[in-house]
Amino acid sequence: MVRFKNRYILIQVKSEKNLKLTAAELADTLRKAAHKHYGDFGLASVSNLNVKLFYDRRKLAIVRASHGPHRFITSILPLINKAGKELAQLKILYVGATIRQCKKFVLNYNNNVLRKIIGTFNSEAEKKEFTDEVSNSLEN
Amino acid sequence: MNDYCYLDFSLKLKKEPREELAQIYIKGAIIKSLVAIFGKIGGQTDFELLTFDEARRKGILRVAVDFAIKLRIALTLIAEFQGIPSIFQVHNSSSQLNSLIDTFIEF
Repeated sequence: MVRFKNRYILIQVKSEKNLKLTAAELADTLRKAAHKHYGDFGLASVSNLNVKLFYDRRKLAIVRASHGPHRFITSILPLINKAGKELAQLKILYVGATIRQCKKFVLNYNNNVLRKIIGTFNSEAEKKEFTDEVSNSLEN
Repeated sequence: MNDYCYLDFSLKLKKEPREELAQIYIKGAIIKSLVAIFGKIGGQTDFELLTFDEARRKGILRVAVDFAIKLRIALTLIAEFQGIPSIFQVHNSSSQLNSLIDTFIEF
C-alpha cells in the first residue's frame, strides 16, 4: 500500500509590532490565501493543512500539508502580508518530511543566530552578559 | 507538432437572454469561472474564442495543450450565464481545427 505523504513547513512570522497570533489564526490566514490565489481547487487541496506547532516567543510555526499541494502553500507564503489582523511577513525557513527534521533545523538555526549576535560584541564582558541572559531565559 | 487544442462547444440556456450573445460576454463568463475555480494565479490561462455563431450558439475555443484540461473543467462547471441557468457543452476536442468540421458545421 502506498503511504500518505506529508510535508512540514517551518515558517517564521515577521512583524514590526508585537504580534499576537494563534495557531488557528495562522491556519485561517493560509487557507484564505490559498483560496484567493488558487481558487476553490486550491482550498480543497490544502484541506489537510494543520498548524502542528507554534512557538509564540520566536514566532516560529510548523505547518503540515499533504505532499504535492504543499507547493501551493510554499508559493503563496511570500505574497501574504497580513497574519491575523496585523501586518506581517511570512518567511519559509525549511521544508521537511518529518517534524523531527524541522526541530533539528530550528536548533541549528537558533545556534547560528546566537553566534551571529555574539560575534557583534566587542568586549568579553558583553559576551558573557549576553550568554548568561540567554541561559537564564532558557532555564525560566 | 501543434501545441494548441481546439474545443467545439455550444451554449445551452434555460430561457432567452435579454441582451445579444456577444463574444466578449462568452469569454468573460469563461474567465470568471476559471478565476473562481483556480484563483488569481491558477486562473491565468491564455485562450482564444476563435468564433461564435450567435444563431446556433456554437463556438470554437483555442487553448494551449497544457491548459486544455483546466479550461474544460471551467467550462463544465459554469452554471449560469448573465443570471440565466446555462451549460457549456463540449462536443468535440482536437489538436487539428479541421477535425471539428463534423460537429461544428451542419450540412
